[in-house]
Amino acid sequence: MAHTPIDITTENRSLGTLASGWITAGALLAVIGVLGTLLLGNLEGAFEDLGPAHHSSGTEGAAAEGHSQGPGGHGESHGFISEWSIYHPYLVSACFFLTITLGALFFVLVHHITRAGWSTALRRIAEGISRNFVLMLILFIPILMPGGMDHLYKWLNPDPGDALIGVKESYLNYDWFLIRIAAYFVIWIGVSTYFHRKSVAQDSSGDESLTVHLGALSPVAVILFALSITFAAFDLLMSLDAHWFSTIFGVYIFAGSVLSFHAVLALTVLWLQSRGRLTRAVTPEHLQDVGKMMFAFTVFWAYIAFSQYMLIWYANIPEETVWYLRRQSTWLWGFWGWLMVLGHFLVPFLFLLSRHIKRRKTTLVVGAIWVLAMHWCDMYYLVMPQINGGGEFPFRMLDVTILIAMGGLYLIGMALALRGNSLVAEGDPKLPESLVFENV
Amino acid sequence: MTANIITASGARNPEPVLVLAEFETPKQLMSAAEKVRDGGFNHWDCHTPYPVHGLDQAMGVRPTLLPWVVLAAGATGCIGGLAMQWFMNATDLSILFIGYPYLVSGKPFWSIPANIPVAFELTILLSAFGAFFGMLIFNGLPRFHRPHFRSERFRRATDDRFFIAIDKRDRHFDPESNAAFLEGLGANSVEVIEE
Amino acid sequence: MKDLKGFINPNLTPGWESPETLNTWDKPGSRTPLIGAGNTDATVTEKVCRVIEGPPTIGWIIFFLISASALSLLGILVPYLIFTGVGVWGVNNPVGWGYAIVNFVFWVGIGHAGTLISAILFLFRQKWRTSINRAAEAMTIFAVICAGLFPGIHVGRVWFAYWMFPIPNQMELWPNFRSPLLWDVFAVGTYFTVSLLFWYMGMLPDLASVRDRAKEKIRKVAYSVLSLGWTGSNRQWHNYERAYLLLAALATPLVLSVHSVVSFDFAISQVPGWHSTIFPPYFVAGAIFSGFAMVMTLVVPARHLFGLKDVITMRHLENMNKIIMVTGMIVGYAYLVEFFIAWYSGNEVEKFTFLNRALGPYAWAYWIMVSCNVLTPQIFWFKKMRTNLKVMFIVSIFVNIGMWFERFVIVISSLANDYLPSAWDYYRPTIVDVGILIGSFGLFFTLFSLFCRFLPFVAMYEVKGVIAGQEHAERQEESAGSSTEEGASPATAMT
Repeated sequence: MAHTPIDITTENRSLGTLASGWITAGALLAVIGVLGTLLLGNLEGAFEDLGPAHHSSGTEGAAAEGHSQGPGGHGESHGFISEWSIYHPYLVSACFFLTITLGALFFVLVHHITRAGWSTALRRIAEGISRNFVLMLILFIPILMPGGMDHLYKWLNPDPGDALIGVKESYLNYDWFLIRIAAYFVIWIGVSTYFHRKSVAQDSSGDESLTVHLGALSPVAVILFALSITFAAFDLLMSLDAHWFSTIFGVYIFAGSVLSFHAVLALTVLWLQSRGRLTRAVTPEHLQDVGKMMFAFTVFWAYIAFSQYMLIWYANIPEETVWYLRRQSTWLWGFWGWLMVLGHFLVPFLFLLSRHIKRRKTTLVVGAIWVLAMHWCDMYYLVMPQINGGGEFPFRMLDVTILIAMGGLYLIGMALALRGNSLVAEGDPKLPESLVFENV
Repeated sequence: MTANIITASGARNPEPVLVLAEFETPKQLMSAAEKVRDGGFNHWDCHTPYPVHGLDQAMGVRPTLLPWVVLAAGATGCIGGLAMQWFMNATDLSILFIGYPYLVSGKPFWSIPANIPVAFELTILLSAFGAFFGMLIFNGLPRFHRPHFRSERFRRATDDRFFIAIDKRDRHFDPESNAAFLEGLGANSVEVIEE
Repeated sequence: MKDLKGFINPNLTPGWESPETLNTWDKPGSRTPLIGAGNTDATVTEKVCRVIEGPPTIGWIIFFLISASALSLLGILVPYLIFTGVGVWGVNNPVGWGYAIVNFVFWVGIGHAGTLISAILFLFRQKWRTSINRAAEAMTIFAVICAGLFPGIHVGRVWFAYWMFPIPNQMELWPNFRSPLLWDVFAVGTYFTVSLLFWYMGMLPDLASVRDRAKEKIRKVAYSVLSLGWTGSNRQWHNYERAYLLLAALATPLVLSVHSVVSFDFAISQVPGWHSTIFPPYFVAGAIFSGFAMVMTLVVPARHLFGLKDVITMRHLENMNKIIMVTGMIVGYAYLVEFFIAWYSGNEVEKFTFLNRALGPYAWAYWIMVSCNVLTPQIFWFKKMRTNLKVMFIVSIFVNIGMWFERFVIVISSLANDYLPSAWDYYRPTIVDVGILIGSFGLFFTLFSLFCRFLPFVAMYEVKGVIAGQEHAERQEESAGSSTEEGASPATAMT
């Protein structure tokens, strides 16, 4: 009952002219995004205060905090920055794309470690997306500058007498932070480049020992991946509130990463197919599996998110609860929380339940776009309520323009990584198995 | 070769109720099943030691409604679970029984997060009942008496042989012509069961 | 490098292996058949049914008698406990949860492998699960029975245990649904019920096989009743397969939820060392880890005793070892993150608790836990060790021990030294504690040995399906051989 295997050489499997199309579109988006950011940012006054933040005076910030509905009282030191800066939307977008890239790397590694068959036809696209770590590093540089850090991370210049941050100083300090971020990117760039290069090399040589080699390497790479994503999540996002902590936080980011990557994968493949690429190599069977993974990680994300919420909510220890209190004390952030429950879990859960939805292109596109939008909302939810203790809703047009600009650059990065090579890992000995694969 | 006739020992007026044909391999069974399907039979079945991939299409079996049963059972479990907790812990309504809201360490009587685990477990429990008992009902199980069991050969249907059975309710049921037809499809042996 | 060569060309496998390990080698482009060559549908039925049709072997009788005598310990000590009160245990003032809860969490954890194998690996299309899922599911059910025993006898007044369920009673009181201990009742109860249904449903076709081979009257009647009149009709299979898929899809979130709910017992509290948000996934990983170890402990001798070596092959065992290794490392990850966050939180009590675990009065238990759970499985990095029966058996025992001690460390060390130093006390189990623990093992092994005697140990129909798939794949490889080679050639017609 299996399909007759297609002859891969007859398939249109190169990005070809589409590469320049992607680069043009990406450049256009980037220019629109940057111009929009500059113009609207100027209107919104985002660039007025790019010097070192003056929150260390203690009185001003704390006074503002005291008037808000936030939990911090007068004179109390708090572990987060309470003023909006352009770096906040920037961090949201950067983390949005970073997590997608991490998901791509995980897809490649888990393919090798499990000796998976079905995903061979899709692996090259994942490898291409994972090459965007280089771009992510460039995008993260403005945040890592002392000026950027100063607007995001309170622990850089804590309130005087903040003993809690004092305890963590040996971990949360600028130099050590930079070294860690550098280490994460070395791991990510190194692993993704290596796995991509070897896979491309196999295209022409068909060398089976490369498959064995990458398979043997993948367990080590997965260990490095697990540690780096965990501590990156702690450093980049959890330490936005340097007082707060949650042991599950790394797993939470991991769940979102894998989920959002599968949405991007579905969109990329369907876009390629609409332009006549991979029309037969990637079948509805593969798309259904991508949809299944989206469904599975929607549930997994909900499980992790619920576990974190439940444990903090029920135990009701002030030092932890404050993080959620900030996200529940105004109706807008409260609404956002319900958006997470319903939009990030319930809607895609019910939508992706049916196999017909996962196999039909239009419905899968709708699902994938929805999942991505919700993932962005999730990142927004992690970063933005830190501002003013959740007392204000800081949405500005910059949130969108920066996202557009980065999205354009991301598209260029994908085009650069995917062009010139086949869109399918065509030398992989497991490709024939993948091409005839079908869900039972 | 003619069909073996197996007659129930205590039967007064034995009449044929089932035609059983044995096949050696799933492949033979599959092509035979396609012919039987195309012959317009409506009360017939294949018997295999394990589920044979592709036989559903070969037989023209329509997709089962079981998933809907499970969905309905799960929804009942979820809503029922939430309603039960609300009634018992958060109200003093009297519907058959009386709800009893009592204060435990200052916790609210009704708060969704704390009620999710039990609602979730009941959703799964009822869905599983739906799947299991739904399967039994759709399959007409348990049913211990079947004409098939009179055949010695049929014992291998759960071991390594493949059977096609045509029931007397079938519109084309006619032991002699059916037996000849099945034999022509490559059956090892054909038996007619009489009761 | 030796390993790599072996992957590419099975003929180059080093000489230290027994021929058994041959099917653990894979050529990258193809999949080595799971089930030993020479097996047909008939031989599988024969091999599996022979185990329960012949007279019991001496080995089985000895094993059964040992298990049953350990079980009799339970028969003596549990009534003693009930008539005397929980004071016969070593529980003291700060440590109100002693062995009973340690054993409960341990046994529930063991019970996770069965559903993982039958449901999650099913959804991941891991065909190798078919040879071991029946035994693992049986083990799950028996482990959950052992687990259910402990909260039951821990409530003190056992005769009021029905208060845990929402049954109308004379006080017109209902259970407190906001309590995690009540969630446990529902989670473990549901888990037991669903696992039992799943196990029984999976067994229906095989019970019919046993029925159709039965010679004696009693046997025939018994298996007829158990198999509900199954005839293997394709219309039945159609509903059956869909039901199996649905049950698998339901059991997957269920298995995650059960140990998560168990972890809530600890993690929603404010006891230092218990309140950690990573507890749910960490407990689930640990449960799978210990469950797989227990499957290994049971299957390695069983496949030998029952002559099932070419049905449960070295490849199955190696895959299980890999899962043991992965889950062991997830557990290690959780230890690491917990330790780090305990320091990072800046919470003095939390920090103390973790240092106290590693260096305090229970350091011995802590280091048993770390060395058994994190260090021992590392030996599986070497293929030679992964495919060595003695090594894997010993490691599985170590993991069982380590996972018991993990629960011991969590329960005891946090309770014994919490916020109020004046109340600190050292926990010592009594002979009754130890006796009931041994008795629970007796219960477990007795049930398992009865299962081996009376029910098919391997899911025959699923293995037959795998064999059919293998043959199908072989035929396809032959016919598709030419096009495969073209596909691997350098791309020339890039468009």
